[in-house]
Amino acid sequence: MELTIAAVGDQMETLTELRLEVRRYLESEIDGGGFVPQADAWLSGIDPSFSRRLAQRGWIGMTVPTEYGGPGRSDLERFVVTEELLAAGAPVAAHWIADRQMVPGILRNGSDQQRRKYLPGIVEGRRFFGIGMSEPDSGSDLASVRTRAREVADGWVLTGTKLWTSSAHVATNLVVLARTEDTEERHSGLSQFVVDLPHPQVQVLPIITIDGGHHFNEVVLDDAFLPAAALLGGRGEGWRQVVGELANERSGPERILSTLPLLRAWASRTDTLTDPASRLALGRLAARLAMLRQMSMGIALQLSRGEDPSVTAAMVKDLGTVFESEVVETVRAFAHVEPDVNGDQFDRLLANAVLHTPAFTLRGGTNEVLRSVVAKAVGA
Amino acid sequence: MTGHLDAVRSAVQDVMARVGGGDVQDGVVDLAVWRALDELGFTTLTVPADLGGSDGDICDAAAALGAAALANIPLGEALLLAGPLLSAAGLQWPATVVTASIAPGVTVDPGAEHRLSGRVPRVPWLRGADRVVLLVNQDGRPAVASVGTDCAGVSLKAGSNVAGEPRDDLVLNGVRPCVVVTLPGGWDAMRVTQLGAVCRTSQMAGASRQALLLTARHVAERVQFGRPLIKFQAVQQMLASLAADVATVQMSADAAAIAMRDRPANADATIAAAKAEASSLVRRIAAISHQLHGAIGFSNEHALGACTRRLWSWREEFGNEQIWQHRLADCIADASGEVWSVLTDTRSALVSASIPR
Repeated sequence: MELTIAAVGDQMETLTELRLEVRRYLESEIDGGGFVPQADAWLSGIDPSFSRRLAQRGWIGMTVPTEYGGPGRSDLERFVVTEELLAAGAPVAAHWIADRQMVPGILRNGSDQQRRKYLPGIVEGRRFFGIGMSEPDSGSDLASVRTRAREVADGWVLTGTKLWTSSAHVATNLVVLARTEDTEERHSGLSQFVVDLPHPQVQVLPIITIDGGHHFNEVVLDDAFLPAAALLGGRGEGWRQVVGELANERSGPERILSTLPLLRAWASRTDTLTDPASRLALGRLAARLAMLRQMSMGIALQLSRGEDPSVTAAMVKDLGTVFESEVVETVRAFAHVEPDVNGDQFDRLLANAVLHTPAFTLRGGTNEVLRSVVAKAVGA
Repeated sequence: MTGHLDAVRSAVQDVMARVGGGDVQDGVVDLAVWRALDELGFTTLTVPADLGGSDGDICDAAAALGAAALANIPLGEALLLAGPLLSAAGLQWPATVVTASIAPGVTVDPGAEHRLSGRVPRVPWLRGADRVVLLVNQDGRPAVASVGTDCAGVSLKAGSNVAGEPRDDLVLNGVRPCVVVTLPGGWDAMRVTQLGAVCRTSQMAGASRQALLLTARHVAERVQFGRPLIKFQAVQQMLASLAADVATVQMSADAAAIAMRDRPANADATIAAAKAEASSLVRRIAAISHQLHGAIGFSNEHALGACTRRLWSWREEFGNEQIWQHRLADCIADASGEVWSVLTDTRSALVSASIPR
């Protein structure tokens, strides 16, 4: 099978005005002390009040149709706003999952009632989501999840433990993948549920990462009762629905741009442009970034046309996340500063990026698993 | 890729399947393929109809070039250099086998006959071409000169790249050109070098795709330890990486062609990035393709060598990755280090920005 990625022509150029509007707003935020740019802020920059300020500008849940309280803008407009937020290292983690995954997921699979219940809050920057997919014994092998949903008279009872749930400690909701039936075929019998937080039988416990930060959580569901309306999409359709989200989850600019704030900071230092070796290294990274970005935009364009670019999305995520680490290693080697979480802004950016590097090629499916997805498509 | 470009690609592939693959020697122009493509208008895609061309654009040319990447003809020079240069000067297409080169070492005699003298190193396919189109300097201004290769005073010193494609030195000794015309503004050696970079990037995309195709087929068919190679995870990982690198080269070709077509005066950063990426990925593409083929791919009879030898040549031509990485860094330096403005094509909107430091 031949894999093709759409080439983006002038579709993006028409969005330059929006791009600059977002860029200028974020510059004013930085100047006014609204936030300090960070690498990997889409995962670790949790700032609900910043999320609400963005929402006031109409930049969260942009693709939500007007009938559900959204501005009804296009996928490509959202892409441009997302890129600028990442480039600025803005603290978007609180609303990230809701904006990226739950908007398309609820629009695709949710009932009208669920759309009315959840989408307006996402658009207003009040509803934040955590994803309950991975478990202690289910990492790459997601179909092996053991969290169970038992049907009872007027709803469901969920039992199990979810791991690596980003932002669950600030989330108003969780989306949980649970087994509703024991089936021979392991990909069937799974279903998705939306849990409203706080919930008396749901406990959120912090997981502290090697940078000392708290963005991940363990979520324990201990016979947690959910009403019947908590089922998202079809019973037993959970796997299909989760796979349907993967292209959205994997192809986004955050799989390329997590360390862009560091690259930008390095590029703007005088030493970088005057030292010939640094300058060449900058040219190398910029060339790679330019072409990876073209691929990411091409996949966004294909998604917006309703195509299914899940294989090429896996491919670009592999390339993009390796690039994110390459940025860190190159800047580290040439900048001649020591990473320091308590140092000045540049040293902190570097320290933060170094400490987040292992996550880049793990989250959203390890790169090795992604490559086997690609190999199956290419070899077939 | 739009459906239109797919149609161009598939029509050229049909010609290659029908006429190509004849017993052609290294260094000899495959006239059967040239004529078949010429009849269908694929050699003149960048020439308007009123100048004798088939009135396509740079993206059509890039698609055709990718599909004919392995053909032994100067199609790239005709489509991306000679066609645009002659058309920019308002000159008719000469309707013959044409090659082209940038010729800073050639002087134009101020006399009425505009006689040309000087040396042009490594002109692609010169010995098989009837006409060579040169970018020269006339009174300090860029001009296009068209020269018949059989004119008095023309001589050549044969050379070739590692793919066996002719790269002949052209020596001009008071040669009377068919025509010399000054080019309009915007046409200079950099613009023509960029066209050359678009050309080789498109060709690298075609040869890379072919290498991937051969490799995917080989690992599916070749059985070792009782299983097809593709069943081994180590092989799967390498094949996926190869596919990703090939897709990146293809995207580079597409992006470069679109930039040159839609905003030639502002295409510097995109083309620099594209040629730099394509050239730098050749190392991995060739390495994985050969590694997965095992020893058989190293045999001269095997088709893989025709791909990889071209890739190793083309990555150097019109500037290798270091040259273009430096150029892109120059663009960034010109924008005061605002790498993101360069990449998002918003340099014109640069304000006294507060960037993370």
